[in-house]
Amino acid sequence: MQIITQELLKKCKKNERAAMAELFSILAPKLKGICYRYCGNTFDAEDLLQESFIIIFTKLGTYRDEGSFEGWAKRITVNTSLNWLKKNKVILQMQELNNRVEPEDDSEEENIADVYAEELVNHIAGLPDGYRTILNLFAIEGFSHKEIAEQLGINESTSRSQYSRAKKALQHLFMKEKRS
Amino acid sequence: MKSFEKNIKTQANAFQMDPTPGSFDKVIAALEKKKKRRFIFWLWFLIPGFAIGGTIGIYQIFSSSDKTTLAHQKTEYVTESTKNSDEQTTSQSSSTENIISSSSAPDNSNIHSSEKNTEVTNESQTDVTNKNESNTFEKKKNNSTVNTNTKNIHQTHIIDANQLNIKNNDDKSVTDIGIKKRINESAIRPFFPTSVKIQENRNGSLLSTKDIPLEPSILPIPTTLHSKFSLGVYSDLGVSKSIFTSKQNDSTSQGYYSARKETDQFIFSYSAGLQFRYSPVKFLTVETGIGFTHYESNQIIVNGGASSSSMTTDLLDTVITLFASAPTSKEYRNTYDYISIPLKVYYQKRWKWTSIEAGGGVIFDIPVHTEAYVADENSGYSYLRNTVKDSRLNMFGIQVSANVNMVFHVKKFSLFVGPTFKYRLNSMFDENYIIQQRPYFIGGQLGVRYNF
Repeated sequence: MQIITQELLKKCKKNERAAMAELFSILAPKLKGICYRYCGNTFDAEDLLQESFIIIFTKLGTYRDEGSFEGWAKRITVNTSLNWLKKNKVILQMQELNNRVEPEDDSEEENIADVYAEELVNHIAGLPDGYRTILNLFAIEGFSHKEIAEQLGINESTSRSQYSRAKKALQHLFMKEKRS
Repeated sequence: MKSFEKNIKTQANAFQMDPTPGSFDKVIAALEKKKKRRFIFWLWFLIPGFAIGGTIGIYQIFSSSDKTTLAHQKTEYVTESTKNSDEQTTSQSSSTENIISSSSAPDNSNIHSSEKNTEVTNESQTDVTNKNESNTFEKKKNNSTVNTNTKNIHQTHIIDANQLNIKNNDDKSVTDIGIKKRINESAIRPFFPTSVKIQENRNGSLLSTKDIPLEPSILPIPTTLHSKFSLGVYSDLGVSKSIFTSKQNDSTSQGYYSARKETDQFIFSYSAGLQFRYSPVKFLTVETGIGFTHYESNQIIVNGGASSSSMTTDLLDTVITLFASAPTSKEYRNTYDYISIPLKVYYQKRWKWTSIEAGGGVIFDIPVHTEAYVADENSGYSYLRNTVKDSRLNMFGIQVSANVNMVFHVKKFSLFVGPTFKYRLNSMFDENYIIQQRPYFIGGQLGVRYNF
């Protein structure tokens, strides 16, 4: 596993092409995975990856060696993906859905414990845009519903209901797969 | 955290996906383009910045040189009786001292320099000193700072009457208004004072002063009100959009035409260059020059559903379909760069410091660079092209242009600013192309000229 060293970052800040290529090769697979989780298709994931890297390389000078660089780059990628969703009006569409909060059901939780990462992410990618976004932000990024509501400009109850449905939909998919 | 979230987080964070080949190159290409755009963006702040800064600098230089001239013009007359000094002379001498002291003159001890003294004969002295005495007047030039504190607008300048062609005896008829007019028309008009004291030599009085109130002035009087030739730099900054027409009635042409028309929007556009003007008469000017014009046109491009392996990885030649309204559509800005040659006529009305000019004419455009998607009617795809040769562009363009400018004159420089409108008469593309596109531009013109 390759490590992002301070030396490598220094070279990238100096716009050294080889160093930038190395940083890209280390981070790109992980970041494209994030993009794919948010947009749900490989074509847009590729675009979002490139857009994220343009921002990463442009803003590299503002990275102050506080916290991991990978974490910083991931945050940029998540924000780029969220902006893309907002631009494509995915967030607005969420508001139109029923905001009724459904009770959480933990009965099927054990179903996803032994699932492969690729399988899981493909299932997430297959979810409707609203479900996918909230699931990503709540379950994977660890945001609270309040934070998600503020970030996306939606109601907290919308976030809760979307997450509840996303969870059910995902569990349903796994159960269906298990049976088949 | 519940086990569902924990499991999903662990698995999702472990997920990786390889980027497509050439992805890094595309990032680098986009970064280079961004860097170039940023440079051009700042350039358009720098050009007017330099123009304004240069004008202010030149103004300051001329301003201080005029102040120095004024300081040199401040003259004191000190009588020196060579023989038989009588009471009159004495009284006149004391009168002089009074006047000098009352006219807020600087300390004489700082200003008397023997090297700069010149002796002049005052002709009127004979009338005053019983024709037997010849008084010489030591004309001492005052090099001390006069009115350097420009914040104090109620300053007093002493101007030699001779500078204004006011002779000793023969100009008794010159009124205050006449003197004021002469000051205003002369090059020695002070920039900031509200009153000027004229040191004159009339009415039997050897020395006296006259308060001539002047309106506050910020700008120096231009040396000439009409220059035949001028050379300058200009920039047009604004937004442009296009008018589209369809060439054929088939569904491909109509679809492409609709897609372009519906997705077109106002986008920042600019041009800049050198201008040369010839003004045969005061109210008319002919303008030509050479410039660079850049504008962009919006286009929605759609992934044609081709698999990534069938798509060329070269950023500049990506295969796409023609139409919008698909989930994978994205916006692209076609860019076009031209060399422009304007030919315009202006009517101008000139005042002392300002003028207004209105005019128009034609601009000839020759394409020099492009990065735009070009539709291929046969394949139903568009291809990104970066050479003029492959771009189906019309190699000769003609625009009509209209301008109204407010012009500010500072010495031999003229700053101009005003709204401008441009419309392309012929299509950007060759006549057989799938659509006809005629852009128009709304914005402002800004620039500076040197008048010969």
